[in-house]
Amino acid sequence: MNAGIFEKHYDVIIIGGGATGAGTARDCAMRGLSTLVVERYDFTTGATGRNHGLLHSGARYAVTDQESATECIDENMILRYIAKPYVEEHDGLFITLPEDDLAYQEKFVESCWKAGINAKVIDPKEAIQMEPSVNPTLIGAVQVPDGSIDPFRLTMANVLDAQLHGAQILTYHEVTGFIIENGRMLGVHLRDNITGAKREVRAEITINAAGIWGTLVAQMAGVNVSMFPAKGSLLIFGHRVNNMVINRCRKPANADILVPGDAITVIGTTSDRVPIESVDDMHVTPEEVEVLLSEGAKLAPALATTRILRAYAGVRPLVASDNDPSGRSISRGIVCLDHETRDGLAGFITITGGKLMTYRMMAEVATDMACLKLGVQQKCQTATTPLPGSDKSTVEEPENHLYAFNARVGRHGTLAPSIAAMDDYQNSLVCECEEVSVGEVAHAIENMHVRTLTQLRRRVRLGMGTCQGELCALRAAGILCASCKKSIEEEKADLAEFLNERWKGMYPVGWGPTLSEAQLTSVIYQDLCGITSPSMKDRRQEP
Amino acid sequence: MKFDNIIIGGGLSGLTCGIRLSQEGKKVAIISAGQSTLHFGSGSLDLLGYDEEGNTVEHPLDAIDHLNKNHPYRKIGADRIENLTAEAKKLLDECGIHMTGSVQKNHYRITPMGVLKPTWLTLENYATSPSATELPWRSVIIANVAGFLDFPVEFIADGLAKLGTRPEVEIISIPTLKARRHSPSEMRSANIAKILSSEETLEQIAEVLNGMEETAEAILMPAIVGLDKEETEASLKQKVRRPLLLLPTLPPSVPGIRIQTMLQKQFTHLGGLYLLGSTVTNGNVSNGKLEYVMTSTMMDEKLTADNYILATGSFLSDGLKSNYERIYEPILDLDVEASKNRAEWIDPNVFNAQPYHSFGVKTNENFQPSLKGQTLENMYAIGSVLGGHNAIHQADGTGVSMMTALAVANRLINKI
Repeated sequence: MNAGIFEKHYDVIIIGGGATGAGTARDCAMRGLSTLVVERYDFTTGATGRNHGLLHSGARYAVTDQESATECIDENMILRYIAKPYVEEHDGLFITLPEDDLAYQEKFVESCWKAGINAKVIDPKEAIQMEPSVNPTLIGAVQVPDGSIDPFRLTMANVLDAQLHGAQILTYHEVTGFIIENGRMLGVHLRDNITGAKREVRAEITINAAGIWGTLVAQMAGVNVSMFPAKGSLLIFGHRVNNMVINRCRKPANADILVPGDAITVIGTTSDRVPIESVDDMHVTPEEVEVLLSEGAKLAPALATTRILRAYAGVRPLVASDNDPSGRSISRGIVCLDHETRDGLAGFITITGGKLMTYRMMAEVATDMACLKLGVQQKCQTATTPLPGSDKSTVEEPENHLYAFNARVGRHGTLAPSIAAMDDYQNSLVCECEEVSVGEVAHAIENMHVRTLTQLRRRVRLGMGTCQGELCALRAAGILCASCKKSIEEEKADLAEFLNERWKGMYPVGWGPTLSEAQLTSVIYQDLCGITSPSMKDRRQEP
Repeated sequence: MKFDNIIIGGGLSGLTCGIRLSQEGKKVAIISAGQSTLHFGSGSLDLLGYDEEGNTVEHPLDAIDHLNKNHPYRKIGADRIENLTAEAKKLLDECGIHMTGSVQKNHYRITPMGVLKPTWLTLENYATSPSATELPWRSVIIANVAGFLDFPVEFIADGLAKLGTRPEVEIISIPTLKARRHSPSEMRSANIAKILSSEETLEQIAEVLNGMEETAEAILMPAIVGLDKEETEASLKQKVRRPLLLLPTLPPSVPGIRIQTMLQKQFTHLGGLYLLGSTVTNGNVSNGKLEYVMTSTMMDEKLTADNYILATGSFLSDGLKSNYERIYEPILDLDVEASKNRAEWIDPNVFNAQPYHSFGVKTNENFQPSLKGQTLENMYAIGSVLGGHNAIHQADGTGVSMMTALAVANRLINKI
């Protein structure tokens, strides 16, 4: 790693490697600010990597929160343009079931129109034709411009673009404190979470974009940002049941959104306030699984008999405002705090609230504030400049047809041609479920801050398919060993961690084919290969 | 159709039992859904590798008495196990499956991760060690085929080095394999083994291996030869000037597929009927006896037998199933040994012993299952469908399959 990275005096340090942090880094770097991102683990390990992957039309918030609804539809249209390969444009339905009040539909459509969302009432019969998996007892349907988005690849595209504009990135670097003198924040104290090394870096402005952890980050700086940690649990089904998003046309409640994405379908979410101390260790409970399943089957009855691949949970970084125990009535609106005027601490900004859909707008707001303080006049261009992989050029299919060509373009857009595919070795498949080649693994290792199997999974979907890493994990571990100059022991521990991480998502739904698949994985990795639990000293805690 | 015995399941336990019964002139049908767990195997058969605390077992026979009393070996008894292992070895030999090892003392197989695991019998031509702490060679060449990802040489080399053997990794290729690599999904063990079955390709491989530096004592290569017959391995060995030994790979398991094929051949050779691609859908029980079974392929045909043997395997083979509510045996809903509370099926750490691995069909001392508490007189359960032990943690899965298969076969032979 470039040693100079710590010596440089930056315009901006951004804390957090989620969509908001990455988006802010892109915006800052594009406006010419010297920028550093510090993230304590890997990118997308917080709420960014633990949500529906829904490209909200905003319809969900139209009735209860016009401001959020408007933000959503604006950003929805922007993302379709700037993040084309990471978005699926399949529209969504808001259905009314016999147990729901059909009168709500009128209010809903009216609110959508008011927010600028193109909502169209359609005949229930037509809805069934458009989306055959939908509950056939529906009595009403509204079509809206929902879609889905891959938050992992979206975030990486922002990171890559930030880097192209000169930003520096430090993953596995955790902020342990701040350098504050005379009411001004001058920089951050860092701990390298891999080596344990301690460092400090200085900047004019520090932006806290740490999601729910932002409340703890603020606390370290001696300012209070009161957050409302709202846990949301979700289930992934083993194949793509529906091709349109299916929502319930009623006030937002538990388990009322079914989102198709890639080869799978996600149902969510629940919403429960959790203590801030617990946000690093979220587990899906049997009660949550029960709710998600029973409510999910009302949207699409086939879910009752569809294999569940895994369960996961994230924590929304809502900003506390009242005593609503579920957090549903709290605005999803953006909160940007200037701690200089608010708390008398200059050089410190917190950007929070919001949601994945509005990450770019959040980044813009925070960057505007930073620019104002730095006296920089540059205007934001992130809404009109496509992200890497999303430019206008088309990808020519190579003459000798490549096996995983389509999957590769799907994942990397116009960046796909930079993936090595020169020879048979580079084209060999590591992960059959997701059609990931040796070349793509090497590309991710080279360009996308990858040292572990879990990071590889987040970048190229390795091990995300139906077998959950049955063979590919060991194959990829071999490649990681060879290309990252890691010790074998380190890689063995990585492999064991990866297997445990996969199991963490499987055991809450450990019945039926999921349990059978888990047994097969045990047969291969433990019985056949003899992989055992790594010793405690080789383990690294990471969510 | 009427048989003396109908065996449901055509994996290691079903075939072992079927062969033994056929040897005694019984009319046997095996109903097999398809591939068995042998396809995920190592080329070794384990009897008992670890005790319940996870300690390595050196002398399996001595350890049996210390096992949990529900363990299938305890139902058979340690004294009988010794005889059954001899019978098993003989049966395998007669099938042309030549394995070495002793029930008195475990030897060690080398896994695809380069670690040693205690085992009972290993196919000839496969690399093993008599010791848990060292290998029989000072230096070896690990020769992998270019682009074959299911044999992680980095881990194997590291494992061997830790055991005091100097490894040298060589990546080899021959023209026929190179041509195949244009299709990225071709580079799997069984596909390669199909190519490496002609004398011509074996010659090419041998030439490359013989061209390597002569310092290493032995050459280890992945198990990508000998898919159909052991002779292919022998032929390659003969052409290579140094000792050549095979190591298991990730699935599909070439040695496992061969064991399966050889057992199947022997069974049909002895007059058995192997119904491949068929599953038993249901059966009728009356007065404590199974009267007949129905299959997916012959929907109107009742298959009847004097005795029925359930050898359907565990969850991964669909011999056991689970849903949101319970664990069950899918054909007859036989009584099972399993927790009723779903939270007790699993352990949150994947490396801890998973309770569901020990679940299985409940049987009496003679491996006869029961239905709502009533023992089925003409039915037996063998192999991985049985509970009472954790095959992953005790390395005893293949042993349980063979021992229970033979114990039940002998009982049926001696009964009449």
